[in-house]
Parts: sequence; structure tokens; C-alpha cells
Amino acid sequence: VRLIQSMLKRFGLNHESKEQELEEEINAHIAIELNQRLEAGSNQREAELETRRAFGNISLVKEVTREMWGGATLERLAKDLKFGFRVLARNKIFTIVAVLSLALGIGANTAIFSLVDGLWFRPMAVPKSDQIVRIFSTTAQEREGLFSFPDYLDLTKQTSAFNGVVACGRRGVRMPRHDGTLQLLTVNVVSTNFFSVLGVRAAFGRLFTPSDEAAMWQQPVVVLGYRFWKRNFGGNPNVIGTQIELKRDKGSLFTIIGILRKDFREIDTAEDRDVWFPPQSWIRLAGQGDFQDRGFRWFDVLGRLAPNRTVRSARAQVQTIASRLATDWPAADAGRGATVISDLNYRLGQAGTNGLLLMAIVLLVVLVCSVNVANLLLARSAVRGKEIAIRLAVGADRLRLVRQLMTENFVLGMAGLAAGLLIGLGIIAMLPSLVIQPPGFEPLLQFQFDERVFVFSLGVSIVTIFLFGLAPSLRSSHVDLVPALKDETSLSMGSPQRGLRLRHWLVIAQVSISTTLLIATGVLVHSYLNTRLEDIGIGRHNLLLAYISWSGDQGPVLYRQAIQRIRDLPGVQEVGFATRAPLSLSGEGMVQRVYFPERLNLRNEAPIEIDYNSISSNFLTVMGTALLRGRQFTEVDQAKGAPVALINARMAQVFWPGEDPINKSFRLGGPSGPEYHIVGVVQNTPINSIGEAPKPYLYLPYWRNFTQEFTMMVRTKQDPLSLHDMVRHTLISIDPRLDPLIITTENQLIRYSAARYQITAELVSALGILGLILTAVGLYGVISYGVVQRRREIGLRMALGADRPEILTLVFKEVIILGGIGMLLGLPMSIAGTHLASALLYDVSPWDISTFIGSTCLLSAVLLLAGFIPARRATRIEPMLALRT
Amino acid sequence: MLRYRLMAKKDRYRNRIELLQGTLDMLILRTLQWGPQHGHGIGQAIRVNSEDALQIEHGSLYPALHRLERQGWLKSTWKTSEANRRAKYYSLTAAGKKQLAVEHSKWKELVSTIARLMRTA
Repeated sequence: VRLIQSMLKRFGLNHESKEQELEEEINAHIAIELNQRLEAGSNQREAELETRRAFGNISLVKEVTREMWGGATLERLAKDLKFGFRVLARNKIFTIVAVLSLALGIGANTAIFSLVDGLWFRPMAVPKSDQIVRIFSTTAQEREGLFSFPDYLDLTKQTSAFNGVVACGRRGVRMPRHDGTLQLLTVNVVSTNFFSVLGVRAAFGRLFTPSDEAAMWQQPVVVLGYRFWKRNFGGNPNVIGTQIELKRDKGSLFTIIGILRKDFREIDTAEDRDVWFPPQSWIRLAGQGDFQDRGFRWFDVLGRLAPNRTVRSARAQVQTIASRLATDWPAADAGRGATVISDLNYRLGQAGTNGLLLMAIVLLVVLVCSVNVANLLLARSAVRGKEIAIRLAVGADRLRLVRQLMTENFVLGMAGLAAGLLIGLGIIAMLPSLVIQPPGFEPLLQFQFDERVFVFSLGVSIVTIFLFGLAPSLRSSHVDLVPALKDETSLSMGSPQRGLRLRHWLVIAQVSISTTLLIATGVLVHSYLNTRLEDIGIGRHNLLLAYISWSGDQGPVLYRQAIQRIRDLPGVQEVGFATRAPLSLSGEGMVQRVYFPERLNLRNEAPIEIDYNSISSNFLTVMGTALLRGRQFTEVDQAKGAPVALINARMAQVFWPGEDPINKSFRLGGPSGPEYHIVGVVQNTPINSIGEAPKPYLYLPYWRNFTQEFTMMVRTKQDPLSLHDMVRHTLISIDPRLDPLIITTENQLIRYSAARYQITAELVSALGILGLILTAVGLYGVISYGVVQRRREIGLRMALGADRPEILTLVFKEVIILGGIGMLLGLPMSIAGTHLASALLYDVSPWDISTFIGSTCLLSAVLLLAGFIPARRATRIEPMLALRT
Repeated sequence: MLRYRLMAKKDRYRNRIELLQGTLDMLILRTLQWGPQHGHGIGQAIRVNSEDALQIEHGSLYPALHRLERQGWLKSTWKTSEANRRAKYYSLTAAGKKQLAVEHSKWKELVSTIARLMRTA
């Protein structure tokens, strides 16, 4: 105990006794002095006065002396904290509103940061991730293209700018379940040096390295992703060394050698892969072509910069190598270049407008919250003016007072942070349900609350409190003592007090930010609704989709059988089919090389690659795509006769501008390939994603352009998903290998494709409403405060005969002035904001007038309501009471 | 009015501390050369020895005393004073004695420098 005491003394913490000592020391001094004066013959009263005068300001002496103790800051802090808590506990309403305000702002902020971080900003979980760069193949049209394996190998051999270059290609495989059905897995095929160069480690077992290559030719191996392992093997480490059967066109057994650590999921922030293959293993499933075809570009290439190398110098070298490759391999690489960008820049590019917009909006909301708190603090400093005046009058140090007030703000801030983090955690838990997952796949995204998110939120709250707490604190410490002590409040309307004017400006700022938020919300919601409600030419009906990929020569027979059986199921109206459904997740890739030998102006052009789909005769009817001219396919077209095709409006416009394309023709595959005659033109529909610019598109008869892929489109009477199990079991009963890899609905695909509009719209509207509420609270506070301040004036006016409407007008004038200025200032901000966000808008102009009007009306209504409550209170003032007090 | 009086008073008090800082330290150390003394005694000694030329507000001694103690130049004990009352007695430490020598020589240098300046002016 003595040891602890002496330690405490050392750190200046044992102040209880030190305080007493000082008290005693000063008392002794005064006693001695008094004694001397009495002995010198003064009377008691005179002696006491003189003693005190000679000593000076006792409390100030004590305070300055305490400062000399050093380490006293700690003790003073503890005292201030204690006092801060007491003050906050006393003003419950103030505290609750302020803490809630902060908490909402910080909570929203925490959640959005966690979302944006989880989607884009978080760096790859590898050591020294700042050295990681992305290497892209480029063409005139494409800035971030992929590499083929031969090009990657040549690049690796010729470059010296990196401590290793790795390749990573995304594919899919099927894994047989116990019941014989198939499960779709996501796969990364990576160069053997991938893990060692990046510094990825195994949770269990080991990862392959270049030195394993020889052995891997003999025994194919794979590495499992952590979440896949948890999900499918229950996190059992004994799976290492066992074999797993995976299938593509053919199947093979692979030995599991390791499990990745939980934190490394993929090279892209929001991705997660099930199985990791070295090339030696992938060849067993896909053959040599995936690695030998110089034109087959499917690898992301990453490098770890060598020390003393910059992105710029690496880029110069990579560009030189790319131009050499273009000369050496003109058939595949003519016109290709390459570039290097840092991984951070790449991720920021991915975040794009969407991520930055979300961050900007959330910061605006934080601003509204902070302004609210600043306003509350100002109001309170006005209320506490008297207390502070008294403390200053008895000799309190001004700096000390500011420090004390800031400590109170700090307590407030930390309470806000704590509550905010709770709110944030709640929202983070809800986030995955907000993010729309691709149908048929395991959920990818996990949002976490970790130290990155915490540090960000802490930073925001400290900056908030400091920025918005300091001004009111400084102001408080400059109270005009005389009027404050005399309890005078100004009687005039345009109060000369600076505090009031600042408060007004703060509310105006809030209103203008709110205007911006609401208009942004309105435009984004409008845009999102367009993606849902507008006729995009697909999915107007209840459509269940079943995607099957058959390997073998019986495909057509089984598919025809399946169509027949499904058509007979109860609840099914019609069955259409195509290679792929519009917006299906297989991504781009199906293209035909189109030649126009009969057209003079296009005869000598390079072949034009045009996306296409092979469709059933009833595809347009089932999908809900409108035929603009000509006719649909018939069953005859599907079987024999001259080859025919349908084109979309965009293709007609590009290749036959101002002409009727019906009966015009083109050739596929080569200048002397089969000649196709156009029999119809259909409306433009989205192909790969909602919101894409219309591209030329071809439709060919399914059976004459058969591929192994088959997507059945079942039009149902009721909710299509209610037929999910029945359709699946019917297909399996024909042949277990017909088990669809994905069963979903066209509307789910649309929803997934429009996800970015939906998420942004949902989040931004939540934030917009939050901002609106906070602004209403802010305005309410200022107007109420104004009414309290002007009680006497209002009482006087009423006593002199003003009636209630007059008083209402008096108060509302303020509301209208504040709201009006705020909205006027908010309009240019909104216009700038909606223009910045225009990349995210679907069929909505940034000038969307209806949104502008709607948002301002809503805001005005809410503000008038917020002003109405205090205004009504003003009319209830009893003149006599108000004047007397 | 009240406000201005208060302000003026505080500032006057501040200036005095600042002016005397350093010099006051030396005077305290010098006074304690003759033996332990309590705060009141130190103040009185300074006033008497300066023949009342230096009027120090009594209170302003205490911050200085506590600072010097913290710096290790003074140490303190509680003893019973002449008036039969417990008082805190300060005395010089070895470091304090050295510090006094240092401050004294610095002071002499300052005085001679200023004297020279005044002569040439």
C-alpha cells in the first residue's frame, strides 16, 4: 500500500492530501500574518482585511500553485470529467438530443464506411500491400484489359521492375453433391508463384509454390478458400490430403493441400473464391487451350514492385514489353499495349462515383448532425451564461474554463461515439440483406466492424466535437458579465448578440445541406424506380429460369424432352428457351463475327464482333420483347430453309441507317460464311446490365445454332419461385445431369443487375430522411430558443393588443426567412450534386424538375411543422406573466 | 464596469508573477541560505531585507515555492512555528545551493550588462 501511495505521489496523483496541505499552508500563512498584525495593535476587522489584501486572490493562488504540481493535468481532467458528467446528467433533454444527434451521424457514418470499405477501399490482406500493382493489357477501347497466359509468361520473363508477377483467372467448376446433383463453385486459376509473391499464408496445410510444379503434373492439387471449407467441410482440418471431385467438361480428382487464411479471400475486395487451382491442375479439367491460346485473355495480372521502383518506371518498362509483344505476335497482339496502376488507384476506380457519392453524402449527414450539436451547445452556453459569468467573476481562469467546457464536449462526444457505434453495428448487421447477391451463388459479402472502421468513426467524432464544440466554448468564455449577471435578455427582435446570428447561420447551413440531400435522394430514387417500373423489354411476365450446361451429344434430345415435360406441369403457361437469359450472370462472351460482303462500304472492313443469343421461336413473346418490324422465328426457321436472323433496333440503326433492314443479309464466321437474311427488328433490351448503352445485337434460331448451354424460361401463372422445386425435380427425373446450375427468375436477374441503383437509392434515402429529421430538430431548437428569448417582447406585443395570428406571423417570419435562405443556397449545391451523380442515374435527368419541386415541398412542410410547435407556444404566452418575470 | 475592474485586476496579478519570475526564485533561494523557513517568513524576510522596496503580494510566493520544490531545489517538512502553529518549512537542497550560485552569477552578469548599457546611453 505504501508503495502504491509513493507511486501515486510520484505521478502527482495523490492530490487529496496535497490539496489539504496547500490549504493548511495558506491557512498557516494567514494565521501568522493575522497574529502579527494583531500584535502590532490593529483591531480584528482591520487586521483580517489587511491580511487578505496582502495575500491576494486566494483561489487564484491555489489554482496557479496546483498547476505547479505537474501531472496535475491528469487530476484536473478527472475533475473536469466528473463535473462534465454531472452537468450532462442535470440537463437530460439537452444531453439526450445532443448524444442522439451525434449517434445518428456517427452510426450512419460507421455503417457506410464499413460498406464502402468492404466493397472497395480495404486493401488486400497481404504484407506490404502498398507494393502491389495491377498490370493491364490495353487497347484503344479498353483501359483495363486482361492478359492471356502466353502474354503473361512473356511479360514475366522480360520485366525487371517487379519482385514477382502473378496471374489470376476466374472460372467456375461443378462439384457433385452427395445426391448426385451438381453445385456451382467459383474458381481462381493462379500462377504457381501467386501465394509466395503476394505473401498469402495457409490457415491449415500448405499452399503450392513454383517448386511444386513437377510434382503437381503427377498429382493435381487444389487449395480451398476459407469460407468454402467452413461451409462444405464444416471447418474440418482433416480434409487436407483427401481428394475432391470437380467437373467441367470432364471430371477429375484433386488432392486438397491447404486452406487459405480467413482474411485473404480474393484479389478484389468484395470477392470470395471457393477453390484455387494451379495451371497444372486446371489443365486436367479444361485442357491446354486455356494456357496456350495467346488470344484468350482471362488473367488478371498483379505485380509486387521491386524496391526502388515506382509505378511510373514499371509502367514504362511494361509498355515497352507490350509493344515488343505486339510486333512479335501480330495476329493476337497487334494494337495492344499495357499499363501499370497501383492497387489503391485501381480500387478507387472501382469505387467510382457510387462509392464517392455515398461517402460524400454521409459526410454531409455528419455535418448536419454536428451543426445540430453546435447549435445545442450554443443554446446551452446562452442558458449557462450566468453560471459562467459567476465563475469568471470569482476569478476563474478563462483558458481553464474553455478546457472545462471542452471536457464536457468530450464526454458528450464519447457518449455519442458509443451510441453511434451501437447504431452502426446494427446497420452493419443489416447491410448484407441490402446488398443483392447474384442468384444461385453463396452470399459473397461480409461487412465487418473492425479497427479500420473504429478508427475512422473515432476520427470523425473527435473532429466533429473539436470543430463544433470549440466555437461555442470560446464564445461562452466571453460572456458579458454585467447583463448576464443581471439576468437581462435583449428585448429587441434583431438581437445584437452574435450568438443568435451564428445560430441562424447554422440552421441555414442545415437547411441547405438538407435540400441537397433530399434532392439527391429524390433523383436517385426516381432513377431506381425507373429500373423497376420502366418497360425494358424483358421480364414483364412471371418467368422462372433454369440454366443447364450439358456435356455430351444427347443434349438436344434431352432438352426437347425437358421442354415437353415442363410444359405439361400445372401452373405453367408457356416455355421458351435460349442459350442464355438476358442479364444472366455468365457475363459477356457470346459473339459472332459478322461480315457484310454485299455492302460496298463495309466490304473491306475487319470483321465486326456482335453479341448474340440463340432463341426459341416463342422467345420474344415469353420474354415480353416487342417486335418492331417483320416477323418472329417459326418452327421452320429452327429446322431448315434459308438461315434467318432477328436484329435489334440499334443494329438496324448502325448498319442500315435510314433503310429498311428486312430482307437485308450478312454473313457469319467469314466473308463466305452462311448468309443470314433479316426477317425482323426487335426493341433494344439490356443484354449484360441494366443501364448499359444499347449495343447492336443478333438473335439466331436456337436449334440451328446449338451450343451446350440451355436456359429454359418458364412462364408461370403465379409466383414463379413456387414452381422452383417442381421444375428442378422434373428435370432431375429425366436425367440427374439436367439438374440446373442456377434456378432463378428474370426479375431477380433484373434486380441484381439494378442492384447498384437500388443500394444507392436505399442508402441515400435513409440518409436523406435522417438529414431531414435532424434539420427539423435543429430548426425547432432555434425557433424555440428564440421564443423563450423573446417572451417579454411577445408578452408586450400581446399586452398592446396583438392577436394570435400576428404572433404566429412574427415567429413564422423567422422560420420562412431561415428556411428560404437555406433552400436558395441549397439549390445550386443540389444541381452540382445531381450532375456529379449523373453517372448513376437511369433515365433521369440531373435537372429532374419534379424531384426538385417535390423535395423542396417536403422540406418546406417539415420545416413549417418544426416551426409551428414553438410558434403555437408563443401564442400561449400569458402577457402578464411574461412581463413580470 | 465590473468586468473591466476584474480584467484589470487579473492582468496586474499576472504581470507581477511574470516580472518577478526568475528574480523571485533567486530571492527565495537566497533567503533560505540562512536556514529553513516557512512561506510567511520567506516573504517577510524579502520585504525586510529590501527595506520594503520589494512589495510582493504574499500569495504569489506559493506557486514559486511549489515549483522550486518540484524542481528539486527545495525540500519541505512540517514543523511547529514560533506562534505554536504547524507550518510548512522549506529548506535548500544540494541542487538548490548550486542553482542559487548559478542564478546569482547570471544575475550579476545581467546587472553589469544593463549598467554598461545605461552608461553608454
